[in-house]
Amino acid sequence: MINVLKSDFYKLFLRKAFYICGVISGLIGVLLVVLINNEFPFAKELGYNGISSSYIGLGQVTLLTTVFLSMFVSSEFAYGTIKNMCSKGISRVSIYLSKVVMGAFTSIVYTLFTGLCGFIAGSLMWGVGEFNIDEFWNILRLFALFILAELCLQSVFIMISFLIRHTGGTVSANLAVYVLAPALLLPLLDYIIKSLKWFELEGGVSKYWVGSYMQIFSGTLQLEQEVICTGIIVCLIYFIVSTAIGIISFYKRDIR
Amino acid sequence: MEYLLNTNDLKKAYLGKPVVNKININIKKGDIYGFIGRNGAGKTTTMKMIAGLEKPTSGSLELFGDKNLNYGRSKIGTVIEYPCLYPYMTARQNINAQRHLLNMRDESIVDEILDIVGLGNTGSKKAKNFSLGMKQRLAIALSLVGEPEFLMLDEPINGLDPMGIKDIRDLILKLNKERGITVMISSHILGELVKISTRFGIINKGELVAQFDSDELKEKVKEKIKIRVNDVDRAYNVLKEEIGVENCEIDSEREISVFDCLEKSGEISSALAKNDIILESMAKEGSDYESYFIELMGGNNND
Repeated sequence: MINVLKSDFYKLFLRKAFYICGVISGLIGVLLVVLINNEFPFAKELGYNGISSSYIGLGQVTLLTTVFLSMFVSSEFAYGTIKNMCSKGISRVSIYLSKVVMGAFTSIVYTLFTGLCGFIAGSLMWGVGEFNIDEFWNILRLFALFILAELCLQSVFIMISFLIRHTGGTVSANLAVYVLAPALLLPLLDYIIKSLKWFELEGGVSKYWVGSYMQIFSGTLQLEQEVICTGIIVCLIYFIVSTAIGIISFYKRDIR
Repeated sequence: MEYLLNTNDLKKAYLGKPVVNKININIKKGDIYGFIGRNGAGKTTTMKMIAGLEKPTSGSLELFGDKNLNYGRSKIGTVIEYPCLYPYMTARQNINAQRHLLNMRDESIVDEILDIVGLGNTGSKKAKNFSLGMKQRLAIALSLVGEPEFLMLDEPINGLDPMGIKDIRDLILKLNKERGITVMISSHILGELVKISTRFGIINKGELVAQFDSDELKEKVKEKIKIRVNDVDRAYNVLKEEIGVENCEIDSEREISVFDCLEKSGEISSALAKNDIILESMAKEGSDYESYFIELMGGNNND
């Protein structure tokens, strides 16, 4: 497993797309501050509070992480290099889990980099303001929860990449899931469930969609304990189920 | 005898249709095994099953005399179907990625391997800009990381120009002779396989139709006179006693192959006639590897 990780990190750092997506995620952080500055002129008065509000846009970075990871994972199949690993007797579980670690690493790096760029841009525009320890812990919690939700969502995308094994198809499918799920699929499922007289789902389907918690976690610094707990449980279930499906599928299917 | 690979009734079927049907391949240590078959005969599928990329529907295999295949596979290098490379990396970076994967700490093996395959001077050129021949050599280089004892090369000379083919042929011979690496190689280019292989396996429609050493092949394709008569036993005696033929064999109820005294066809026909044996036909055959392989692969019409 350690060797597969070493090799995967080596490949990751040699990919130009990793740095390009990183730069874009940093730019997103800066652009969000500029946007907030234009939309909410009072942000300047808030100082540190104002800066923290720029993290509301963290979800935008997920799109970049999704595209990059879809390419990174599926390219192993497209280039055929997955054969170089599997034919050496390396466990397929290790190969899969290594990609999950790559997903987590990429999510953390992009999210923190976006946050850092937003912080620097906000500090330059609005000043740091008064340091508030509660606010600081809230921001840390926001990042931790957001990253947890993000890497659980990415584990779903990694599973899809291992199922489809085709770069174009994987990128399209993952983007479709990310963009269309909240816009079309969840309302449709809600509608279907509502039409079932004998079944009721408390809080609607979106309460059980991992992407919803990314928005909730990055949407405000004031979160209820119950929401946090439900969110963590939903995210972990997505992570465990998608990873299990991905590993079983990768283990069972032939590499053609 | 030390067999490096043994397959036992190895079978692969897709949707119930067998593409590889109960084949039994035996490869000895030090062999260069030429694996011959038409497109779609089942060569790649067989190699993929050996490499662990596809699971057999039934049957089993042993690597290095051991049924623990993960251990055996760690000592195999493969190039299957096409060169599997990271196009955005240089040759050195590609080898380094594989070196990390196999936990080879000694970085000097990178230069050593690049020199073996003749890619030591490619510098910062990315693999995507390599010619097909260079890609094939880099793929072989990747398969050499981890000091394999057995190389499986699937169509490594496909699409190469004559110089590229010669380079790969020389490389395979060098690896076999200098490093003692056993090689299994599939190709359509029969002439090339005949030049380097010490053992052959012929696969047709998923079945291994023949398996023999190069010496046996030479024996099988050497020039002969094929005689068709009404009484093969008497004809056999006439050939031995009156003509002095030393090397001949009865092929079927009416056919005999004569491998020496090939210039005495006139004498043979007279002697047979003198002994009241009806000579139905007599023809010179053999000397052509290609025809022999094609015949084994089901002839020209194999639909």
